[in-house]
Amino acid sequence: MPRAAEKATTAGESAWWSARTVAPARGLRWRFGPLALFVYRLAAEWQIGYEFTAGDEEPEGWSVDELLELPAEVAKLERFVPGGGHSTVTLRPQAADRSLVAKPRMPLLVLPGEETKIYVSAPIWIAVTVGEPAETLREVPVRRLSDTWVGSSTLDGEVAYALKTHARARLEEMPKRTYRTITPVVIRNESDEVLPIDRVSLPVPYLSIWATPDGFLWTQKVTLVRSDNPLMAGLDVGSGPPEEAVGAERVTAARRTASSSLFVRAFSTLLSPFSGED
Amino acid sequence: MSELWTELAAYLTVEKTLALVRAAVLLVAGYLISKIVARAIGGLASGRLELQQSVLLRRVVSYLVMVLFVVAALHQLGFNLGVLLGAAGVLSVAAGFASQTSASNLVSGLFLIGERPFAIGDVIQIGGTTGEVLSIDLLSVKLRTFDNLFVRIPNETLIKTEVRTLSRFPIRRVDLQIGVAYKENIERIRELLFEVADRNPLCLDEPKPVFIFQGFGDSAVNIQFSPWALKENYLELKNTIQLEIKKAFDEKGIEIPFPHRSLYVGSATDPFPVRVVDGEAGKSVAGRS
Repeated sequence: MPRAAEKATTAGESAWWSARTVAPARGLRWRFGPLALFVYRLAAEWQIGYEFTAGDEEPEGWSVDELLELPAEVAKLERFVPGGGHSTVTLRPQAADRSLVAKPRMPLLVLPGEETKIYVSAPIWIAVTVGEPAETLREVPVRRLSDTWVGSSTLDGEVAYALKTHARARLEEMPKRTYRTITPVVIRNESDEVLPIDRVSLPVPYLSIWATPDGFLWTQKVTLVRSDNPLMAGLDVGSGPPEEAVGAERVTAARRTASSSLFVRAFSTLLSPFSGED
Repeated sequence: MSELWTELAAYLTVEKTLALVRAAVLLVAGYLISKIVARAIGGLASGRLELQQSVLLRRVVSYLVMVLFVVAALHQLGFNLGVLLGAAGVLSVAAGFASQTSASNLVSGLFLIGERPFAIGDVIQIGGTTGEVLSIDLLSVKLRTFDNLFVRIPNETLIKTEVRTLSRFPIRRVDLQIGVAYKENIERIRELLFEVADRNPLCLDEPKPVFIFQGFGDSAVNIQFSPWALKENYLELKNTIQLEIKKAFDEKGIEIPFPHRSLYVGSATDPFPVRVVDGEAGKSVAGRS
């Protein structure tokens, strides 16, 4: 069993992405919802381990404890030997490396000519970095998401992550979790038909992350416009933090930079051709 | 011995020696130039052509250059090329009959390179052989099987038979055949299978897994359940999900039946004679049999 030091830092004291100094033969354990992340420093190496707890529950807060030794039964454990005797470790929030296909638990309908705004909460990837300038050792998702496929057929499309979302329309109803980002999604229906939203594809690699003073993470506002083409949607990624994130500062830049106009398979209601052959 | 030397000296006049040297220089130069040209073409073609096409182009060009220089060298040595070509015509007919198979493979190879059903690095299945394509040549395709054997398949075979390219599309379907006992509720099993697929992160959320009721078998209700995976996760999903299905079935007490056999002795109406014995006695009897 790991012996935890007496002093335990709890959520709220400071942002989890601030730098922490680790003495040799000491370590830290963070908990972010389903993820337990271990970072342990030896004289010349860093050991990083992580494991996920099963289940859908995600407590709101996060915590960090000091460790005197690594627990023996960590599921994934890796050793890193970076150059230079770094003594600080910094976690950095990072958007997912593929698009996210958010499925509202209940389908949402947007009438022709109308516009609606929903909030999508997405788990982030945590980059473990050491030293200054930061050297990234490992990226770990807060929750392991299921793979999925977005495309008009099994031949043509892209790989994404599947995400179940409540797609809440009111910000006050959003659970406050510091290890997920909130993305305001505006959906405008410029076609003549009712637009059923049973899935929304979010181009997360193009989104930067902002943090508000109260410790919550936001991405830019994303506007999806459905015109007459049923498969593709026009996408507009806002340039700064959304207006809901008052006093936000940018923590992480986007993984990819977007060209001026992006078209994505955003609502793609598809897949009838290959749901039941044989 | 001395006669041989005098004859050789008589033959090797200054002119002949010069011609020989010229021919040798031509051959060496031809070899070097063909290598340089082939390398230059390889550099130009990389990025524009696929790997096997650029390999083929390099080979053809280097052979052509080499042939030109060999012909020039022969000309220097005083061979009459007209006669040589005539002889080559007769020879080629004979060679054509002799090398039918090679020629057919060669033509098949050209078609194969034009058609591009697979590329170097793809995983293909031909007959019973599955492997990674190492090279696509004019006469044959070389594979490395997963048990690390080198397999050469003649191009003619590839043109004639069905070839499956397993790594062509980014996603693949994993077909699982499952038999459950007749007493089970199939609707409940369907839900359970979808739950298991939903929990496995390697199983694609979309396309949805396919559930097919295959029919009433001899001893089980046969079901096909086919989740989808990225091609690189195909094997891992196939392994993990079957374990998870077995575990889920065990937890819910769902039976995967063994084949059932009903035995009759003599007439179908006569039952087996059954003798009831004590627990302890029964055990020892069973242990001995």
